[in-house]
Amino acid sequence: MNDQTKEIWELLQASGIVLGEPPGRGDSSPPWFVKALLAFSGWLAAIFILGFIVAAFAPVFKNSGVASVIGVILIAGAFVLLRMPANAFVEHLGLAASLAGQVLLVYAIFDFADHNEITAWLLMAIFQAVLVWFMPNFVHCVVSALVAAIAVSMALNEMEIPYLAAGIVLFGASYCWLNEFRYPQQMEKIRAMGYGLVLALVALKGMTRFGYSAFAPRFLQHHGSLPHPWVGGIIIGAVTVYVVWRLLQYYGQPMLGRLSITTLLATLLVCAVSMNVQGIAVGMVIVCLGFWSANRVLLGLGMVSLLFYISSYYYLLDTTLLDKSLSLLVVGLILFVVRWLMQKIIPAANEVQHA
Amino acid sequence: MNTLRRQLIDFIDQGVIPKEKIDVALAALKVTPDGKSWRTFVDHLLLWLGGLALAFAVMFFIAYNWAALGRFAKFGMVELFIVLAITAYCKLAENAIASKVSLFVATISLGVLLALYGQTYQTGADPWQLFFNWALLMLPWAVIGRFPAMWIVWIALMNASIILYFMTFRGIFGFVFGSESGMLWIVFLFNTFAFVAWQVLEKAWGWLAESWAMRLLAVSSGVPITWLVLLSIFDYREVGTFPGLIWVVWLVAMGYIYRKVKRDLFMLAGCCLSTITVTVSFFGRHILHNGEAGAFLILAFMVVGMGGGAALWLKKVHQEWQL
Repeated sequence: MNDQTKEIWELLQASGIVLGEPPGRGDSSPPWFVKALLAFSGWLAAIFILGFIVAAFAPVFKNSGVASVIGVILIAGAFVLLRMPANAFVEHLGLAASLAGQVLLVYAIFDFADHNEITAWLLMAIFQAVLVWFMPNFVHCVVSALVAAIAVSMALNEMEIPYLAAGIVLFGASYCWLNEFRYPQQMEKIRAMGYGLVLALVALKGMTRFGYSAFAPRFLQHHGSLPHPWVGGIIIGAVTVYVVWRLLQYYGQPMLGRLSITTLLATLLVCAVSMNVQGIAVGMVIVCLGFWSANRVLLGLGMVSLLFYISSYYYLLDTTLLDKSLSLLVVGLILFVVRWLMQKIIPAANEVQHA
Repeated sequence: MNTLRRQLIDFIDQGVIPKEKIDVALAALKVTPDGKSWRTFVDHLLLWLGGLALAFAVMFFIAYNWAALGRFAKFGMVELFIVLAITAYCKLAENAIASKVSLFVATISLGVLLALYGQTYQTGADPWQLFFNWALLMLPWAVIGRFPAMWIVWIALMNASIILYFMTFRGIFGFVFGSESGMLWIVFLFNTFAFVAWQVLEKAWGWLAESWAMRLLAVSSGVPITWLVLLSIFDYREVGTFPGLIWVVWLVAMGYIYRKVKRDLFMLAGCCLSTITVTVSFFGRHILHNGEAGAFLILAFMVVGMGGGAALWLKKVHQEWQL
């Protein structure tokens, strides 16, 4: 045990949270980039496994029944491997086998759905959600949650309501991060789901440039425009207000107190003016959740999301650069006004007391 | 903040903190921020986002190229915005964050002004000149600004101008480096120089000591040299063995420095990633001739072996450093 761990233990002891001697060193989780390396090599190995299956058993891809049987066998094998005591090689093999099995099973699902893409994407989302729940591996859960969220957004595109995706995924991600420590037994799983959903948001917001015209082309051919795209903005706004409300609750602020009302009103104002620039509210929520949970990776993902969004927003074809410029101008000014009001209402020397 | 969080998670995983006391532990270790930290954070967030939103509003407006607005009005608007940002920087000198935001906004607007100049007078200049002039003119602000984000923007602009320059002239450096690889060599040399300079200067100027900036520079140095090695694997006649030699030197230097001199697991993980990519590509190039099933299986096991070995080694180093 190093000095820093001892210090932290003593601090917890002084607060009456723990008693006695500190425990021995646990199997601490490696940093995010080691997990990313694991995910990368897992994928690469999965591609070669698929190459092997195609080269050795070519008929697999001609018959969705055979593909699904081999896919299920690979996933079941991966489940057994991933349940074994921690071993980097076995973990890699398990990940690679599962990913290869998933590709085969997804191929079978799309074949089974027989060109009904809504059914196919929804089946895929359910399948990935099942994997999130059952697969006993962090990296696997992150990837499955990401793919599940993308599958849901694709299904919504096919249903011609693409603007709902970001709000739904944002709600899922916020719920995970707000409840990270609520269920200690499921903490790792909740965290993995949270990362997967946030990564999906970064991808969704990064694809903003394609706009609704690319998301629902068939519908636009018939109707010219999507009905009620502002519903997406309202859902994102509602999730943002929910996150702020939950944080105020966490700090024990009374709902009718001055601070709560002012904060919620300011949040509503920011959400209202950023209706046309939804990525800003999404990025702000991720950044705030990262700050709240002292999670630098999440904080960084929030910043990446904002950066991706603004560069993607430039190329969005649904609106002119003049309109975009006006929207950004209003958002910028309102953010400054909110900051000015915050300085007036809560002067730096008179901060809110921690509950 | 991450260390406290990680340690607390370890304790919770080991079951030494009861469920009902987790919130108290989060507050006691200040993992969840207090009111003062929240106020400062929200203040900075609103300032950065507000400033950037305004700068991008100006950029989008100019990009729209509104015909109804005369060129003098456009120039006046952008110049006035830059003057306002610089005035804010001077006036807000005592507020570190506000002055940084102002300078950053002025830097973005400078690029907008240069783009507007090119757009209005159709100077015939190549795109690389826009980025190069932008980098040149913002240099004094980067020097006085003394914060890493400005220097990263400067390095990014230089990268953009090198790439665009190469794309325009297709290798004035061709006589030295050959054709396609020339750009990668120049980008690699420039970014490696910036990376080394950053490492040396951070000892004298503490404000440069930001791990995210150094990691970004390490990636910007590692990606072109890895790419060059991949080129030499897949198109040997084009590049030869020289990139491989430089890559090995780069790998050994990075491994030694970040394992022994200055501990940083991210850099070591990057070296592992580069090694896996190059090794698998090399063997893939030589054994995947006719798409034989056995070759795919060998490569799959090779990736699993190398990935597992890398993860195991990184975990061991990580635990060793924690002692």
